[in-house]
Amino acid sequence: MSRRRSLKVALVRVSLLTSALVSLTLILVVHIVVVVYGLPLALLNGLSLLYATPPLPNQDAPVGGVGPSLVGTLVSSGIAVALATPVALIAAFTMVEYRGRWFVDFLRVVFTSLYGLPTITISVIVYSLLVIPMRTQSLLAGSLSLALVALPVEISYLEGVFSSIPQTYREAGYAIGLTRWLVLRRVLIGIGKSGVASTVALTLARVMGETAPLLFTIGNAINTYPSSLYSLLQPSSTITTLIFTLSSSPFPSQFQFAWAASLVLYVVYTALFALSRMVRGVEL
Amino acid sequence: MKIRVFSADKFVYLVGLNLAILVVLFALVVYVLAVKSAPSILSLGAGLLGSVWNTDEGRYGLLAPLLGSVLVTVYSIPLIIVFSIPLVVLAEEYLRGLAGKLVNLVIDMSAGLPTVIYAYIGLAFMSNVLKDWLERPLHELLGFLPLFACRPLTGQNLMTATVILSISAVPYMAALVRESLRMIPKSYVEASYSIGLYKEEVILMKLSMVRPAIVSALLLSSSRVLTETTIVSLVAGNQYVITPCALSPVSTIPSLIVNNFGYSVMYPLLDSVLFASSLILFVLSLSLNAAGLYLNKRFRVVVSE
Repeated sequence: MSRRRSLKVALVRVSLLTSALVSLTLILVVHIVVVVYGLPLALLNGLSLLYATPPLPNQDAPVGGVGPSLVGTLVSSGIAVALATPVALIAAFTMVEYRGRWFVDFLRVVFTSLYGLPTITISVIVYSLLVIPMRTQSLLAGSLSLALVALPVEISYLEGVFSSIPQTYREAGYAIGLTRWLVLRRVLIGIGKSGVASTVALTLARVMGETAPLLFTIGNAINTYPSSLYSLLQPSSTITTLIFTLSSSPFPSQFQFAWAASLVLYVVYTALFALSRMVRGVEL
Repeated sequence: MKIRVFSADKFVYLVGLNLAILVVLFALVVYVLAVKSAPSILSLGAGLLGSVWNTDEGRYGLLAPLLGSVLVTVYSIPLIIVFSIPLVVLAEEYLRGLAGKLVNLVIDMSAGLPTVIYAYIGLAFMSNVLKDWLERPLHELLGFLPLFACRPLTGQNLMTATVILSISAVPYMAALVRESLRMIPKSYVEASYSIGLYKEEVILMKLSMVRPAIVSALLLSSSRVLTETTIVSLVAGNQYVITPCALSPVSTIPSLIVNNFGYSVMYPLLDSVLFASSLILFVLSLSLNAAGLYLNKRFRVVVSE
């Protein structure tokens, strides 16, 4: 065999592996840095990290917690996914069931456009639709922004889940006289249960990591807990907006504390990611 | 067991309602963007693309942030390619068993990691490292090139933003490319090995087979980079300058919106200018996304034949 060929092969191998190792290192550095910088602060604060309020500007040490923002994160992403899931289930079913019909093409155009909507644009749109009329930023406005983020993401995942179920299963359902509603519920959701559950967990993970859609909508109440149903109409915050606020703070204790908040966000994200992995492909 | 059922006809109403919800949402989005950005587009016209941004004088030229957005996106493309494709090849071709699975797990997990984490690490950790170990040396060695002519004063500049955006986009791109590589029929790969090709030659052949999918993944990743808000707001430096230098602080359309929206009511038209800029952003990202999804669909059709 020719010398040139073996030289080319060796060159490709070396450059592929070098570049892959650099890339893997860079990605791992992100994970390692979050843990290495966050852990000392988490140990310093102990469990109060989960329920106390963030450090005040005049404080010397980064002592405090992310309590109110953690609740804000859970409530807003919970509402967002609860609102988006039914719509996404039916939209995904429509796209699989009525493939090729004119309104599915139309639906796809709308869906692609929503998918391409920048998250910061969502923020300014919800601001003018909800925040201005309500005269205040609120947990509700934040949740609706997140629902707008969740919707196209969830439709695209669910379309994948549903189209992986063989068409013959659906036809068998119709053959024994099931209605479309029952085919969706018993056949598509029934067989794709773990896929649907995995999708919901993954969407939740994606949505609770969003910052931009919340910047002008959810407000910046990092010290007050949502206490009643009325709190939905009042400003709140999430861990992501908390990190964003803290990282612009000129006070070292607040800036440092963002590491602790990042670690909490990282742990919540990892848990949801792991959940979505565990339920995928499992008989439910 | 008695099951309450929707009749087939009634379900059509549900589908219709669903379509209506999506269409109304989309119409609202378009309506708000159009109505809010119209005043500035009508009264400023081409002035919107001017190069001076000065809210006190009412000069709202979007050229600087627009250029910032374009440069960040364009510069990140080679970085994303160079770092994502070898990573996929490593996980799929070189590592067997558990190691490969672990690398794939890291890729998937990093792809969805909240961008604010990348942003904060970029600000508090990586910008200093990059300034001392990459940007200063580049400036000293290659300072005669306009690209590296300016001194990196802080670590918050165009280059840092590009690097951190690329790190955040690499796992996403890698996951997309991996899916397309897995769609290549096994028989093709076996045939290539059977004629005595080296592993690297087979890899190159597989990569050339999925080239449309790679382009599609790149378009989707670029759209993500273009619209990314938190990372650029924290690490790009937020200065409205037009310069060929990659070590200068810049701003992008999303960071322009973040920095000005809070006091937009205090200046006439500023509110509308920001809506116009987010409309521009929407059009750009929509084109990238639509092209990416279209190519991806066409690729799937070709492979499944």
